[in-house]
Amino acid sequence: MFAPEHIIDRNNVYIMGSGNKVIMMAHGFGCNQTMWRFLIPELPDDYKLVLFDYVGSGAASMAEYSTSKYSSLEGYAQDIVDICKVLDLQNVSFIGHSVSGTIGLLAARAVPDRINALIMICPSPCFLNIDQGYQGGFEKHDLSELIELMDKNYIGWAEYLAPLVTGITERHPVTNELTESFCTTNPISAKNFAKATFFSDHRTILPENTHPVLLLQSDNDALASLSVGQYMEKNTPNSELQVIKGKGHCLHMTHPQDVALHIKRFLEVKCAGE
Amino acid sequence: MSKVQLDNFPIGLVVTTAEGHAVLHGNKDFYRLCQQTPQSLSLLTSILTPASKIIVESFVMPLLLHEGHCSEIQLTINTPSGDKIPVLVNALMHSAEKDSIYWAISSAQKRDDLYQELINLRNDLEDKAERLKQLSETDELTKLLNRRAFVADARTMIKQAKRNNLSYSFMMLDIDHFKHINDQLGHFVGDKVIADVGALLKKYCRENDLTARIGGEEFAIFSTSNATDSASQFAEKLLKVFSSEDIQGLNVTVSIGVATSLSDDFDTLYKTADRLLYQAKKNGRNQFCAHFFT
Repeated sequence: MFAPEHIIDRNNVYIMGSGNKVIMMAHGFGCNQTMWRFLIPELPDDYKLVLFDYVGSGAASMAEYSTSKYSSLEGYAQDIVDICKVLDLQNVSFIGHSVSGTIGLLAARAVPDRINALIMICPSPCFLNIDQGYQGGFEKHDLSELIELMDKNYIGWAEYLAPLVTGITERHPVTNELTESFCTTNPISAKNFAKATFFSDHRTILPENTHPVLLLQSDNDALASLSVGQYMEKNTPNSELQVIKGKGHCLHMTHPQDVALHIKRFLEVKCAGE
Repeated sequence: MSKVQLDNFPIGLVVTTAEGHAVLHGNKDFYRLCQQTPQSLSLLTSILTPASKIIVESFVMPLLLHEGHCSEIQLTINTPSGDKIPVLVNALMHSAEKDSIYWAISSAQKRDDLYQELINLRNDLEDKAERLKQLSETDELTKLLNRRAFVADARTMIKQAKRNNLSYSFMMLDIDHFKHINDQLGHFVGDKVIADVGALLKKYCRENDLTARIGGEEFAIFSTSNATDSASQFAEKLLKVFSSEDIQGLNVTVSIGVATSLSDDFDTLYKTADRLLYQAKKNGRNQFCAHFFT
């Protein structure tokens, strides 16, 4: 069992407000917790908000980064489980963007008594085109190209090459200021996160869900199409799909009020039902 | 600045809606670059490769929404003729005009080539570094860990074992009468015996054990367990294995010293295992002596 300070530091956990009810917010691939800043003012104020960065993202510590652990979504889910346990969080309503919808589902399976509702913004359980019954939107070669493109887009290169040449493999924690760190992550962890996100297929865990789930999809999202949202609603027990009139994959940033409206209604109904 | 002047710039300039990226205005160089016309192109994202769409949705848009601008992002566009063109993109979202995005797009073929060279170089360096690492950690004859790697890894394993409250054992193993083998059959056979002993250890050790050749005919095994007597049982098993196996047509036996602890440091364990090995030799060889620190 880890010490609370250790996990708070490791995952750059940030807590706002107080109360017995908790909203935990998990960023998606490519970003960090600052992506929630537009949505936070719109959320109900009687909740304690718990924000964090996954190990390897944002300002979380790189000291405990493990390529093998974080090469699968289960590793990221463990971060959530660790945070829930060390802070002894109960009654957690989990909000996850994109791949964090799936990660939240995995975490809720591990600590079903702590997480009691899931809100997924632009989620997808599988970004790959599998067959006619499931089109995640991408072919494997598209995603290989993504890894190449990421390689060609990282400023972290010097930081990466220097230790390789000198033979020092210890990595320093990411301590950049907000402007630098927002949406830039360690190149190794970012690629690993990309692989875990875009090459995995977690459709089989959807039917195992036991918690109320709110799926928020935009009507035009290049990464998670409406048909993916419909597939999730159909295959996830206890779920409802709400389509927000908007385009893009970052509804919580572009349409925070619409997103918050659905979240508030969902939480009220869920709480009333408890 | 008039449209005519914008058309003279050798860079693709395009204004789109913030949502959906519908093209509102594009200059001549933009249409030349993507081999489109104002009539053929309505959405900027429609010319991007799927991987580039992910970069736009996961990096560019959050950056634009958060900071208002993003610079030097490399993307790939598909042309109607089926070519893929690397482009460099800078984008701006004015705070007073949040429903539009201003894009500057230029060809990045040379930059792409350079980056590709760098990636190849990096991959090459990574491979070489990995090979060198393996060479520096591996005993040439047996392909087991060498002494340096063994000591470093064992120290790390002790820390982990202490954290998880596991016992850990240092097993030191020496081939009996090895000097005779070398003297009577030559070093070539001696080397083969060492390699065979190494192969047998590798075969019978668990995946998580550290197995090393730490001296001429001396081997070491470091293991962790939740049972304090498991190392002794393993030593007993190894003695049986060696007495039943044919090694270069010889009856090769070994002597073993086993030191197990829950708290001692590496150096203490090493010294104890060494002493116990000496004891096993003194007691007549082909046996093990074990000690558990309480």
